[in-house]
Amino acid sequence: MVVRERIEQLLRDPRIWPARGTACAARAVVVTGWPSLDRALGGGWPLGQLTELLVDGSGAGEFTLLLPALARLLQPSPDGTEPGGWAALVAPPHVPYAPALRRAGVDLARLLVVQARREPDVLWAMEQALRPRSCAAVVGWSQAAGSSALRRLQLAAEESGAWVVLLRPAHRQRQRSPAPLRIGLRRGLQGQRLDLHVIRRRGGVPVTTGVDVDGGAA
Amino acid sequence: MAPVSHNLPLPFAATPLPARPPSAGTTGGAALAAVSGTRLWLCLQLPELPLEVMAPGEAPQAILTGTRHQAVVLHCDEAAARCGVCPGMSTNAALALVPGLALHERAPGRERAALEGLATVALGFTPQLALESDALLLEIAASLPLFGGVAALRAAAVAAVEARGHQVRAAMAPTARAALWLARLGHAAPVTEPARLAGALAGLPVAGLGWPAGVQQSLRRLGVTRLGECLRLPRDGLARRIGTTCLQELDEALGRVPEVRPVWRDGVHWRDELELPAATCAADGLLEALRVLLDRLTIRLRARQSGATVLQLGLRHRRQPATALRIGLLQPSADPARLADLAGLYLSATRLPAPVEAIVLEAGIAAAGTAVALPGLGYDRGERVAGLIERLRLRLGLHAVHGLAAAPEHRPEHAWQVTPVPCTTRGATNEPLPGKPRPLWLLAQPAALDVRAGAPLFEGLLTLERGPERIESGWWDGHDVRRDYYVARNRRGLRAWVFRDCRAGGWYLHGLFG
Repeated sequence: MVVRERIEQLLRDPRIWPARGTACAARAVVVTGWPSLDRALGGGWPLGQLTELLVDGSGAGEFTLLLPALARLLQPSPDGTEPGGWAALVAPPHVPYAPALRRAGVDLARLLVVQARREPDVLWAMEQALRPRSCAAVVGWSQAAGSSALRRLQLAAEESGAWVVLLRPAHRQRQRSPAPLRIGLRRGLQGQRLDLHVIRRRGGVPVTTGVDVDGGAA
Repeated sequence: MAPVSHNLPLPFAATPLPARPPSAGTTGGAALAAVSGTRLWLCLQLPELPLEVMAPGEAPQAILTGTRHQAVVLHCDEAAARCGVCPGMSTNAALALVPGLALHERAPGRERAALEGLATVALGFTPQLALESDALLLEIAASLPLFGGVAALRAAAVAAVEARGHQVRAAMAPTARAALWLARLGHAAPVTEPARLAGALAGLPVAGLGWPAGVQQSLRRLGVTRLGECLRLPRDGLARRIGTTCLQELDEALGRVPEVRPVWRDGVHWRDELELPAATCAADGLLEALRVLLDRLTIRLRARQSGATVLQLGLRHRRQPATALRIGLLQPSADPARLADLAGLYLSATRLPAPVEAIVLEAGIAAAGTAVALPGLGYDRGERVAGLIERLRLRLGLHAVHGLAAAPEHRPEHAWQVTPVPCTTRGATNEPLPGKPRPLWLLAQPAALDVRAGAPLFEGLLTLERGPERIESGWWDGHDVRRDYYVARNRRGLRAWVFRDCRAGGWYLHGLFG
């Protein structure tokens, strides 16, 4: 008993961060829909901060990974008091295919697609979508975002409390980033599942997990 | 005690209820009570309207109607009437009586404009009003407590119309048509109870109701001159003699059937301008001046409980054509801060050719009764998204922001649509979902794939995992396809949606399971 009391006393020290557990659960999250990822992230995708996904090209399953949370954020609250939120897809690399989105349960009537040709416009549009709490979810695809633009986006995300995801090419992992959550995505060796390498997360150590995105998408 | 409670005023009696058609389950009498018990119509009829809209001229004058060769007097002023001119008289006969009579063609457009001008005034009394060719019909049951009763409201409404230079006859009745008839025939005594309606209408002359000449003649032959006598005739015989249209009007007047009238809504234009103290190019100075104009506009908007739908800015320069900016709003707004924000964005995106000397602000105003975002209540989410779309379009272009919808089509490239946002018409959401796998990313154009040893290549050799799914459709519009679709995976684990063109041969990449 004495030992446990000592440990709890130690844990109350503000200089000590527990690697997993209580500190993560207190933050607002949206369930990812993938149990292994929920465990790795301590509950789900964090809201009110920038999430950076590093992935090369499209087709690895990166969009499928986001769909359950996207669908959930667009749904009205179960008691019907809150209408569903809006989502913005900024500069998607291809046409987001409506039949597949519908099958994943995404309410198409609450989805905005924003085409931005120039690179600075992508982050500007994402920031706008967050600004007076317009959208509950903002997903953007960027090739070469600058550090200051990323910092502005992180600040806007903190202010809005929305779910903000930025997808960038994998070699950007070396660039300094203010995003509190950075995840590298890669297909596993056999190609059967999507390997997630959580490079950085708030109050946690880097972990690696895998998600069988094909099982959900088929 | 139970009968007493029936006499108590019902708390919802004063709320404006829409006229309900009698439902199948209720008897006619119950439906009548439900309709007329909650309504009271004030009719403001303008007997001199055709003359009043003419430019003021020398008396005597008269308004003509009918064709050029058979023109008859529709209406004449008092001076002409004293000399014996009366409505229905031919032009020649009127000119013989009064050689100096000034004759005017009737101007229906001007009459309508005058009526609509009065209708905006009448909106101060009730939002539920309808227009006739010569009268305003105001549903005032809900407004009575606000204005202190029947007499006070009527006096205020009459005074408001007379202040704009019109002669007016007012009448009140539980049905709109009865109020109109009573006003046209000059019966000013208000009829507020449905029970007294039939008695009040019984004394009206049939000739004054505006029924067709043939109907009037056939009633005259029967010796029927008053509405009361008309009502005593057997209904089937009456229907045969006066026709169903007139009978319908009679039923509407008596409240036997509900009357359908379109509620008048105003869409109005507003214009204001401001000279700047000194010509300037500075965005700050322009925005300051614009705020003054917007403040004036929003005061007006709030008084009308309405919002602006479009702003048109004209920036006047010396010796240069004016710069015009058009700001469309997705949702009517009466919030000066939001309007100024938007106008500021537009101003900063505009390059001015010369210093601005004056600003002209024109605004399209939403019809009264549409949902408007009022300041101080905070943005609701739909309003915020509307603002977001406006800002994005301003910088990225009109077509840069859109929505998505699924379409009932077999051809994959036609199974989705770009929709305007915010979505006004929801797509076919009840469509059955496709049972077969569909990729999340669709390529805008199918990309031809290289083939090695009969198998397609996409960043490495593709192995076909599922398929084929034959899609063969579109023979009717010239874009017919015949394809076998497969889900394929390459060495790196990317899943692709590929097809083999069954007509021309060859493999194509059409989508990625992102």
